[in-house]
Amino acid sequence: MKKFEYIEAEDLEDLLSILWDFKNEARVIAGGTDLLSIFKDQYLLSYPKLVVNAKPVKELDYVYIEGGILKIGALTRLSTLLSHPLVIEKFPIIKEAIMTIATPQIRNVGTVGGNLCQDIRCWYYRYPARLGGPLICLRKGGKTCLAIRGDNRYHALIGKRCYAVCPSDLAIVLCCLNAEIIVVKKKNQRKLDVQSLYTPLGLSLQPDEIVKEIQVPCNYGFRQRFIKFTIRRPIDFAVLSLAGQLKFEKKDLSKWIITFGGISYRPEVVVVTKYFQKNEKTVEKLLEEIVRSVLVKAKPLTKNAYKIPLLKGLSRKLIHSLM
Amino acid sequence: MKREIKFKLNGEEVTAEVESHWTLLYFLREVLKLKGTKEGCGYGECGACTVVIDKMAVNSCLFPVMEVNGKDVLTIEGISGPGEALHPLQKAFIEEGAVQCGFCTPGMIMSAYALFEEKKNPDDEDIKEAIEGNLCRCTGYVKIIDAINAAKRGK
Repeated sequence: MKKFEYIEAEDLEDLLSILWDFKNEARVIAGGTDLLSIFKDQYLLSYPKLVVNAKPVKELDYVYIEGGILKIGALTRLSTLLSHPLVIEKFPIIKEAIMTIATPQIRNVGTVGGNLCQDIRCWYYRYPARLGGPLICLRKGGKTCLAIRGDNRYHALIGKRCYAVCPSDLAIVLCCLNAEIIVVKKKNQRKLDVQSLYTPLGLSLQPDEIVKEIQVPCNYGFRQRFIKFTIRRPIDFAVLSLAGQLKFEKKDLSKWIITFGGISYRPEVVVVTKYFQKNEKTVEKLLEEIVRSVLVKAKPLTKNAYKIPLLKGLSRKLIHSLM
Repeated sequence: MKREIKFKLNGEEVTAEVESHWTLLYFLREVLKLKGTKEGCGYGECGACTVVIDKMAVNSCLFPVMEVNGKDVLTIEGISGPGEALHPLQKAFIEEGAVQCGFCTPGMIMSAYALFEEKKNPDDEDIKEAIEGNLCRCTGYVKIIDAINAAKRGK
């Protein structure tokens, strides 16, 4: 374990001041289930000296609806959100997704903000020091993404130099629900859509910024569904994941909003509007359109082309379950 | 730099000097020599290190020791009541044959203990969900679920 000094933030102002003062020398710990493994494996080239515990900042632990928007504090634990009446009643898709995230033990400490900001799972990037790491990949200033010539079975279909995929299931669902993320730093606040939180080489947050709140509009669709494909049912990251909403614009005009995880560095969104008829022909047309739009930029690597038929199969399953 | 923490461990107040970067698991096993809590993977994937903090099951391998300050921690060594050699869950695990190599057992029991803190009368699905984060490579889980059910009936 890499050594670090530890302090607790008293409140949000204190937390933001510490980050402002220390910048790259400090990292926020919330649940810590990802951050501690980063310190254990020592796969980064440099480590912050200070870890700031954000958990005592109680003002970021809340779930409520205001003005037609579900507001979730970044420090809300996943287990709190899982059993929250507003989520159960209005956003079953969020519950469905959280049920697939890690384990009860991790959900009891893991937070919403932490889930969105967790580090990627690429096995080259995370190659631990005890086995001879760290490896200098593109994310760490190297010349190339090591997955391109390596074992890339769980990597992205749509790559932008780095082929790691967005590891957060919650991001896929929140993106489908058209959520926005409030990011704060000392004396400044900005709003991002979920896709913009992720860039090909990491989060779009500055070192002194944190996710403060997630805002989910309550104009959710007629049906919502999350599907996650994993090698092992519990305790696993998604090979592919899909979140879908079916809305009706006018009487028969249906709007399908589908987001995909496991294919690129961020959630990928497809929106298709179609006159709704519940028959196989509609399903096939819809499926063709959705798959074509999402895979338009896809370039499979040597070992991950299997994700394309898998994506088609799961999309068909999703369409059927939304109908 | 060593720092002082105070917390409740198995019902007793503990004051200790710890290093900031220690995990709770390291502190329990290597400093306090409470070897009941096991280290399997060290990454929150196997659940062998499960302890109960403020009534919730948590992976002690991914829990900073500094964060237990002021909290109530329960390990496998502390679940039996006063004058009781074993907790009903421990007895049930033995009687139902839910222990084979035994490495996962303390974690399984702590997860089941946390489940009973939350639900007095859990059904099979609740039990399966509660032990979802605990790997067992010997039993195939059937006897473990039987044992948790038996402990529930005995409560």
